[in-house]
Amino acid sequence: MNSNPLPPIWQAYKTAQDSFRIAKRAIKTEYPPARQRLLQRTEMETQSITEAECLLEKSNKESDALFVLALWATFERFIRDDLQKRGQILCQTNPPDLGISIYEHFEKEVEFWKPVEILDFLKKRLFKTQPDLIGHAKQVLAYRDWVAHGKNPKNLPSATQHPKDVFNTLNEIVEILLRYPPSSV
Amino acid sequence: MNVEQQDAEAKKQIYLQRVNQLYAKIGNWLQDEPLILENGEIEVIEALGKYKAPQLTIKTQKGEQLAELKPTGASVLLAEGTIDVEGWLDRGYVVYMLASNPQTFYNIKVDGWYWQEQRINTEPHFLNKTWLLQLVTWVSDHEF
Repeated sequence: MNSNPLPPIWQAYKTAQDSFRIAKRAIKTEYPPARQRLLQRTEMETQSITEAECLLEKSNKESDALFVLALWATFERFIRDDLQKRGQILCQTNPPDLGISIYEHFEKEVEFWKPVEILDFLKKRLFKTQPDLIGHAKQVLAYRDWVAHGKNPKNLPSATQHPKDVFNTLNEIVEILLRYPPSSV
Repeated sequence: MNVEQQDAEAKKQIYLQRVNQLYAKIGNWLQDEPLILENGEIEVIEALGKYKAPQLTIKTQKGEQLAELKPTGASVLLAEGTIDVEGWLDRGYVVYMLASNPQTFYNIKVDGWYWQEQRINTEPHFLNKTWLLQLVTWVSDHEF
């Protein structure tokens, strides 16, 4: 049975965010022995507060972008796996030979389908009452592409993304697919 | 100016107007608090283009910077505009949401600016003085 793979990615992201908060408090610790204890054997140990803050801020922003990348990759894997499993119904034809051949071809081809085409056919029927949800997922995809292709400043994505909204958008699609019969494919 | 550019310009102007309205409210909310507000300007670079927007800094009376409100654009997923609220400790997001937006996740009853906490199963907080001060505490560890 499939389960939703996105909450662990969110949890990992939140843990990283909490770690940034703890690190920022550590570098601002005024009592020298405590500060030394907190920062020993880290890159920040020998840096000034300003330098360390600057590095943490850059790292924090990068973490946001990488979170979207990781979340999308996991989402896309889930969708392809789900479609492949649903396609196994082709193997149940009688006699089975042609159905199995079609399924084997389908299973390979699903790996090459473009994400935007998958979103389009999902929108056509299963998500016809929630076209905005698929529209939002396309905005996430555009942002994911922008990050994955080096954040070109001359070709900005159509919308800024905040991590929780990205998670909620993709998570909602996964949950709908998990509930769609047969839900335990 | 073609239709697309006109739409973008209108969207931008509405966004800037909403930002200014929020800053005016913040001025009222904090007028009796021992805080200093400083106005500035920031360059926004987003899908609608590059333009100037007002920035607001909240400081203690001793001059310690608690939070900077930095508009980051009108184009944002699930909302009509966004402002980053940055303190030394963290960054929070304030977003303009419409009650009429056909979006799935949040229960928005009134158009306005909301603090979108990055926690699952938490509704956006309609920004008022109490939530603003909590947001400032979140980004700065400064307790009121």
